[in-house]
Amino acid sequence: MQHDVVAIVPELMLVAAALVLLLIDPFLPAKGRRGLSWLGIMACLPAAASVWLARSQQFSTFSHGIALDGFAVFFKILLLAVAALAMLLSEKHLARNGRLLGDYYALVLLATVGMMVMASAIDLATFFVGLELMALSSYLLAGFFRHQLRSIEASLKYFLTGSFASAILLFGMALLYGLTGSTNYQQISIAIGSGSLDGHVIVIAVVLLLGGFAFKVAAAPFHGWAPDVYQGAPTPAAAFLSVGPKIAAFAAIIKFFTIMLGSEQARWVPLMIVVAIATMLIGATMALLQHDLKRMLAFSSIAHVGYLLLALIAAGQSHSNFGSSAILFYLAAYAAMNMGAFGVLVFLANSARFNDSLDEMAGLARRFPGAAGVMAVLMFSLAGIPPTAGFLAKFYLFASVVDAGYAWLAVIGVLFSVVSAFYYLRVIVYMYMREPEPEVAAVMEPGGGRSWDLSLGLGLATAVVIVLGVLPAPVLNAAQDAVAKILGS
Amino acid sequence: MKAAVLLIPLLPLASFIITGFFGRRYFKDKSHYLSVASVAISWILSMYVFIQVERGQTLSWQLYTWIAAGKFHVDIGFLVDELTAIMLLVVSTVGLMVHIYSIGYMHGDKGYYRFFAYINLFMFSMFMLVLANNYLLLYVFWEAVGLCSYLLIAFWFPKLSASNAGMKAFLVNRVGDFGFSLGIMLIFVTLGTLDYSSVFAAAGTIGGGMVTAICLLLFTGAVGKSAQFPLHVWLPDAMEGPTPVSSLIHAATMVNAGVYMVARSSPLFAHSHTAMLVVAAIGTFTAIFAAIIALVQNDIKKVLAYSTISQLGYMFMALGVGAWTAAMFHLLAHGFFKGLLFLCSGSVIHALGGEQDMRKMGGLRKKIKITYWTFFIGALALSGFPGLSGFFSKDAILSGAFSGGYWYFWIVALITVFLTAFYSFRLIFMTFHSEPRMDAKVFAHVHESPPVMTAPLIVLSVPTVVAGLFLGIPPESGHIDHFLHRVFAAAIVTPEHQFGFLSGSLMAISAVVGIGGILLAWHFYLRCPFLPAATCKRAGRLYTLALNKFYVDEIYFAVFINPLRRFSRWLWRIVDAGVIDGAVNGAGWLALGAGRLLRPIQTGKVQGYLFAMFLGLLALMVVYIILTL
Repeated sequence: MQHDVVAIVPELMLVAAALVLLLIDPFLPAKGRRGLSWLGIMACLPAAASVWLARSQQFSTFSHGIALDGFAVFFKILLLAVAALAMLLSEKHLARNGRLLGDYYALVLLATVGMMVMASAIDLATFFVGLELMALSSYLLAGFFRHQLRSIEASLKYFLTGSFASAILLFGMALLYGLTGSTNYQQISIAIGSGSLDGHVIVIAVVLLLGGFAFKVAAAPFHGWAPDVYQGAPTPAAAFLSVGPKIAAFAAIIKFFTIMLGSEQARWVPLMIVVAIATMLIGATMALLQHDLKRMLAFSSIAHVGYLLLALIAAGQSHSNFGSSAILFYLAAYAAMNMGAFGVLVFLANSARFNDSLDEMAGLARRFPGAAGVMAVLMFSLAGIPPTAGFLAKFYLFASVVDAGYAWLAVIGVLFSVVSAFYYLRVIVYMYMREPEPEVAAVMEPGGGRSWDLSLGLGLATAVVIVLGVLPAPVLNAAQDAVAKILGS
Repeated sequence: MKAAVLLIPLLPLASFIITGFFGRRYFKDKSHYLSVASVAISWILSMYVFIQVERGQTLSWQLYTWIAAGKFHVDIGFLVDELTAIMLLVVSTVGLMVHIYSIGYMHGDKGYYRFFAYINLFMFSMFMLVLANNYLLLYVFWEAVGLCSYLLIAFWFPKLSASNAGMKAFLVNRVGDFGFSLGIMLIFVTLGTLDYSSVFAAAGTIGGGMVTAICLLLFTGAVGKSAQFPLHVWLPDAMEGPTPVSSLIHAATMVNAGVYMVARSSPLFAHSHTAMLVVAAIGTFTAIFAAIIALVQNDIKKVLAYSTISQLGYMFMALGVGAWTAAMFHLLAHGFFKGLLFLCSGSVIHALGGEQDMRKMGGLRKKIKITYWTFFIGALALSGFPGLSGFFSKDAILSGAFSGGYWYFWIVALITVFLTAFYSFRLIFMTFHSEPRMDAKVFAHVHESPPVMTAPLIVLSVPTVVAGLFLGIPPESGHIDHFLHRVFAAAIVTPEHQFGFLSGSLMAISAVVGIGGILLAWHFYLRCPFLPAATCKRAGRLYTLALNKFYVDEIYFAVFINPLRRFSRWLWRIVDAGVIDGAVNGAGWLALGAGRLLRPIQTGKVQGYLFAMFLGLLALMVVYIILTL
C-alpha cells in the first residue's frame, strides 16, 4: 500500500468545489444562481475520474487513517453518483421555494466528503470525523427550507436523535480502543481475533456499535426519526438523505462487523437477526398504513435496510464474499430506485401544488404520462419485479442469505417483500386506474414545472434501474471485486 | 432453425413496441394489422420448429451471457425440445386465433391499440417463457406474463371491479412467486447453477430432504400461476378482463405455465415421492373442488373459469402420479377446447350485448348457429365424450392414476368427470336451449358474430375434434407418448404397458360416466326444468356453500388480510403514537433537558424516539444475555 496523498484527492476536489460555491454565492444576483448546481455536479466528475484511475492500486494517507482501496473505489463512485443525482434533482425545487443558494450544493458536497471518508476510513478516528461531517451537513440539509416550520422541525429532530446516536457509536468505539489499545481497524481486528480480551466488554461494545449504526441506517428500533425527517426535509434533500448516509454507513458496517468483529460473529449475528427482523416488520407493515408518499417511501426504505441487514448476517456467517457483494449491488440498485422515486415527487411538487399524498397521485398517468411511467418502473423495481434492478438485487441478496445457511431468514425476508408489493402496486393503481378527485385535478394542472436537469436526473435513475436489471454483470463484478479487495486483504 | 427460434418471440415484441408507441396517434382502428401479422408469422415459424423437432432436431443455444459474476452465472439461452415444441404449438395457435377474433370483439373499443399492444407483449413473454433454458430466465418471463395478465384483467379499469381484480391477481401471484423464487434460490445455492441441463444432470446428487423442499417451493409458484387451491381465488375474478384475454391467458396459455414448469422440472420431481404426492393431492382436490363450484355458478364466464381451474387440477394430478405425458396431452387438448369455449362464450356475450348471466339467456340455438355448434363441440370435448380430444387426454390421466396404484385419486377424478359433463351441458342447455329468458327486444337483436370472430371458432374446433384421434391412439403408446418419451425418460416411473383389457374397461367406465353426466344435465334442464330449483332447495347448505365458492375469499380476509391490517394499526399505535410517548411522559427522568429544549415544537415525539433508542439498546443487551444463557 502506497503512502500518498492521492488517497484523498477526490475528497479535496469536492471540498475545493464547496468552498468555491460558498465564496461566489454572496456575489451572485438572485437569478445568477441558475446553473450553479452544475458547478457541484461537475466537481463530482473529476473526483470520480480520479477514483477510477486509482482503482488498480492502493493508497493510504494520514498515517494509515484512510485508504483508497478497491472497496473504497466502489463506494466512492457510487456516492459521487448519488451526490450528482441529488444536485440534478434540486435546482427547480429550491428556486420555487426561494432558497436557491450555493450553500445547498456546498452542503451536499461536504456531506459527500464525509461519506467518502467513512467509506475509506481504516481508523476509528478518521471514521468518526467523516461521520460527523456527514451528519452535520445532513442536519443542515434537512432544515434548508428555514421558512417552513416542518423543515426546521425535521432538522432539529434529526440533530437531537443523531447526536444521541453519534454518542452511542463513539462510546462503542471508545470501548474498542480501550480494549485493544489501537484505533486502527486491522490492529483491532488482530487483537480481537487473538481471543484474549474480556468478552463482556466486547458485548457492550458490539451492542453500542450496533445501536449507533442502526440509527444511521434507520433500522428498528432506531428508525423513528426517518419518516419525520424525510417528510419534513426539502424533497430533493430527502432523496439524498434517504440514500447517501445509508450507503456510507453500510460501507462502515461491512468493515466493522465482518472485518473488525469478524471473529466475534457468534456474538453479533443473533443480535443482528433480531434487529433485521424487527426492521423488516416495522418497515413493511407501517408502509401499508401511510397515505403520505414521503412517509411511505421512508418506511419502505426501512424495510430495504432490513433486507440489507440479512445480507450482512450472511456476510458475517459465511466466509465467502457472497453476502457483502450482495450488499454492494443492492445499495447501487436501491440508490437509483429510491432517489428516482423521490425525484418524481420533486417533479410533481414543482409542477403543481402537491402535498405528497397518495390521493393526489390519482389519474396521474393522464396528466403527466412521463412522470407516471418513470414512477411505475421505479415502483416495480422497489417491489422486486423483473427485469428491473430491484429484482436482481433482491434475488442475489436472498440467494446469499440462503447460501449462508439462513434459509428461514430468507423466507421471512421474501415474505415481507410480498407484503411490500401491496403498497408499491397501490401507487401504480392510483396513477393509472383511478380518476382524480375534481378539486385535486384542478390543482394538478400541468404547470411550468419542467426543468431539464430534473428530467435528466429522472431519466438517468430510470435507465440505471433498467440497465442494472438487464445487464447487471459489470456492476456485479465490480461489487465482487470490491469486496475481495477490502482492507487490502 | 436458430433464426426461427429467435424470430418467434421477437416479432411480437417488435409489434408491441411499434403499436404501443404509434398506435394511439397513427394506427388507431388499424392497430391489429401489424399485431396479427407478427403473430401469424410467429405461428408459421412455430409450426416449422415443431416439424423440425418432430424430425428429431432439438436445439440448446446459449445466446448471450446475462450475468457472469463469480459463481453466479446465468445465460440468456433457448432450449427447444419436444416439450417446448408442444407449448409453442398451443401458444402460437390459440394466440393467432385470439388475435384474429379480437379484431371483431374489440372493434370500436377506446383502447383498441392498447389491447393489441398488450397481447403482443404477452405473446412475446409467453414465447420466451417456454423457450428459456434456465430457471432465472423462466422466472423473469413468468413475472412478465403475469404483468401482462394484470394489465389485461384491468383493461377496463374505469370499472372498479376490473382494477381490483387486476390487483388481486397480482397480489395472489406474489404469494405463489414467493415460494417459486425461494425454490430457485435453493437450486442455485445447492447446485451452483440454474441451467436446466446442468440442474437435471445433478438432480440425483441433491439430498432427499433438499430435493423435496425445492420441488415443493417450485410447486408453490405453479399453484399461484395455475390457480390451484388454495391460490385459485384470482382466476374467477380475472374474468373481468375482455373475453379474448380470458381465452388466451386464463385458459389456454399462461395458466398452463405452472403445469409446464412442473413438467419441465420432472427430473427433479422424480426424486421426491413426497413432492409428487403433494402435487397429485392438490391437483385432485382442486379438480373436484372447482367442479363443484362450477355446478352452481350462473355467470357463463365464471363457469368456464372454475372449469379451467378444475381441468388444471387434472393436469397436476397427472404430473403427481407420474403420468407426465398425459398431463402434457391434456394441456394441449385443453388449450384448444377451452380456448374455443371461451371464444364461443365471448361470441354469446357479444350477441347479447354484454349479458353474461345464463339465467337471462336461453333459446339461442337457432339464432347463432355457428357459435352453438362450435360451443357444443367444445363442451363435448370438455365432458370427455368418446372420440374427441378431451376424451383421450382425460382417459390417459385416469388410467395413469389407476395403473400407478392411486385408485383413490382415480375415484375422485371419475366423480369429477361426471360433474364436468354435467356443468358443461348445464351451460349449453341454459344458454342455447329451452325458452329465451331475456327481453324480447334483446332477443330480437341477437345476431351471429362477424366472420372474423366465427372463423377462429371453426378453426379451433378442428383440433378439438381430431387431436385425440391423431395423438392419442392407441392409448398410452400413441403418437404423443412417443413424441414426449425422450423428455420424460428420466422421470417415468411406471413401465409402459400395452393397451389391454384393463385400459379398455377403464376407458369404457369413464366414457359411460361422462355420458351419464350429459344425460343427467339433459334430464334436469330440458326434460324436467323444475328439478334444479327443487334440488337446490334440498341441498340447502351445501348449495349455499358452493354458490359462495366455499367462502374462500372471505376466509382469507378474516384470517390473513384483516389481522394484518389490525396488526399494523396496533403496531403503529405502539411505535408511533401511544405506548412510548406514554412511557416518556410517565418517566420524564430520561429526557428532561431535551423536553425543555423541544417545548416550542408542537410534538413531543423526539423524546419518544430517544427513549425508544435507549430501550432498543437495553433490549439488545437482554436479547444477548438470553441467547447466551
